[in-house]
Amino acid sequence: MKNESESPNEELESLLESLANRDLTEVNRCRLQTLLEESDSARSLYIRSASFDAMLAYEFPALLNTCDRVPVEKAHWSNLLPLGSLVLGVSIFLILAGFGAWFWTNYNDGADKRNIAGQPREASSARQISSLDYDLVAIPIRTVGYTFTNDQLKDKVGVEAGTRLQLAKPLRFCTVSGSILSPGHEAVFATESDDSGVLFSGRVDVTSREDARYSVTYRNLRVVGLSAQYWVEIVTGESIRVHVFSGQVSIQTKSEAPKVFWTFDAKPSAADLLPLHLVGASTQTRGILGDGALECREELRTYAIVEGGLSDVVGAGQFSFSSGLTIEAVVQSSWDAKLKNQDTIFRKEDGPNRLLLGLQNNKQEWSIPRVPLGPCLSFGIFLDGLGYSELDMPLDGREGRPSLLEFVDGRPHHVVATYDSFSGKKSIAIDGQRCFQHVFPVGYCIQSGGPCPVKIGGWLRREAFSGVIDEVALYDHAMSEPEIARHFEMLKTNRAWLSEYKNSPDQWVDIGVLKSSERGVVHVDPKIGLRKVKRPNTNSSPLDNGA
Amino acid sequence: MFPKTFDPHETIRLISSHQPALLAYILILHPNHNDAQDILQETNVVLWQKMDDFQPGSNFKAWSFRVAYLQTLAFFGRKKRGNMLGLSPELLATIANQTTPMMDDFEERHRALRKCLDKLPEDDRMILLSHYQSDKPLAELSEQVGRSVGALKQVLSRIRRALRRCVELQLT
Repeated sequence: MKNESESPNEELESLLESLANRDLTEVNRCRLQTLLEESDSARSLYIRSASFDAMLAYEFPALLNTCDRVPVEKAHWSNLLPLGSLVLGVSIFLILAGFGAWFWTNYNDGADKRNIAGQPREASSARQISSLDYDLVAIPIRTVGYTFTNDQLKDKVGVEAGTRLQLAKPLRFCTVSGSILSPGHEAVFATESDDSGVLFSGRVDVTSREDARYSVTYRNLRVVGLSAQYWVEIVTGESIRVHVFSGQVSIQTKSEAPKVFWTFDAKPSAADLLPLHLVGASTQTRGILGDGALECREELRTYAIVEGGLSDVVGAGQFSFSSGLTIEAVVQSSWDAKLKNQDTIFRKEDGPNRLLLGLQNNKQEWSIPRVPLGPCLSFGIFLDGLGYSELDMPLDGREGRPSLLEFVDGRPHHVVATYDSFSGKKSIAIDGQRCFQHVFPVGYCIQSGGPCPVKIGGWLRREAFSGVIDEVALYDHAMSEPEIARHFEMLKTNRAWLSEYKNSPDQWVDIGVLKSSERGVVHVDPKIGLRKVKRPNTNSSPLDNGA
Repeated sequence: MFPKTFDPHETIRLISSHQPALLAYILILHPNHNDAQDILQETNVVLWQKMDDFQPGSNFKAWSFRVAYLQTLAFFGRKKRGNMLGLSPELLATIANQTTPMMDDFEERHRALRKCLDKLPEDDRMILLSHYQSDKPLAELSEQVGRSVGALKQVLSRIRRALRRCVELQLT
């Protein structure tokens, strides 16, 4: 409706503002039509205004319409075997046939006599996979969202869990759960799942749709938004800045609790989160810590298989790790270190996306860094963009590392293998001391998880563990050096640390809330890294009021 | 189908470098963002198919605008509806003719706007982001950001004015 006090230009400008605001009433539309019919200058003003609005729309495309929720891919690992390839098919057949005959003659003799009772359901699928060849298996990786190949947001490209996103220009990323992310210029960001990501440098803008949750993790801090629009920026190596535009976000800090662990106690406590199925005769023995441990006898191929925690795809399930991982165990080994004899401590065998900790004679096949041939303790993980590799720590008694004889001296040893994507450090600590490491570039996440069950001890004769395994724990972060030292000190005095954790240990603890239009700076403890962020008291926020 | 006289890579480069201007042109003819995206896609297909008709060395932008204009009319015909503002076909043709020369400096203005957006205060940038990304009516957006509709209108108006001033300054 025309306001009598307005000049024609003011009226036109007001109508054009309404048009740009998507707020043009029917009356105003008719008035705008009239003005455009009447005057050449009105049309010029309209063209300038509409093209300006179009430029802004081009810079901020209507992502919420584009980011419709899409179902998570339900592919199964078996679909990924390259059945379409005749050549590979024939190769697999030949390998199967050859391996089957070899397996039958070498391993199957007497298996029935040993009364290996009641293998769980997962064991059958694992056997199918393992009986091919570990590295021939390809398991699909969970699709967690998609990016666009052009500015018009028409061509979607799927993005997998654990993918590192680093582009010179801002990128738009939509999650399958309906959140929109825009990592800024030169940000390094990795997808973790459909509702979480990891920020390594720079800044990320997050818009989570109604009822959609999205969290951004930086080291031991996590920002969780539900139906919120916010951004997170790394200010220094020790601080993040959070700005909430709409909705509210929780700030959380990571606890030091393991994600999953097994104490092998004779009467399993509530602390053992996933049940174990023991295979290969009587296996529980007096515990190194507590009242039980897994006694593995090579000739009986004793091992424990973990029931549950699996998923159809890599990047999901209890054993999906991304920004960090620790595998901890107490082992008493009597490995003979023969050339083809490996002693597996922990293995989850999902093709190249495996998790591995074990004793083996290094063949330099997967070693990063390259080390001399010989007996070693191997820690294998798959990093997106870098592939599968093993940290093969030589058992050579040099530079603080134990020699083979020191490691198989009949005494229990505390073994901790860690990977931290924030520093790139992959390392092994023995008896409280970090004694071997390799540093990868920062920002490469682990891709693990999938359908194959976890085994503690080796299930093939060539991989069967000889000795005792106790207090196995997996953490979804790299355990700090003080914490490693503390656990070893407890081991020396026969005190069990895993009993400190409850049945469902919280991985993340709330330390504060930021509401719409608030902003704050959150600090990471640089020495410990974990849990040391100052908790708020009831009267003050843990967040400094940032600039 | 590849054009006979054109290098496909050059064709792709030409079409993609004109996407912002083409979208703006279509939005001037029909200020509906969802429809404009569809018309743009159809225009791109036709540009690709008709590249043989384009005379190398002539004005690609003017030629592509003509294609976009025809595709906009075809869209109206298919959907059995007209321009969102209710403009007559004659007035639409007048605006189309008037627009083409006015878009000569579009790329320059667009570059200037990008620089200005980089300088925009964070809160203002987030409001623009919310407005354009959600493409929601102001009443809905105002609830989301916790401001009244009137206040939101004022803020958007202020931001646009500031950006226009900044663009003009960049160009002088």
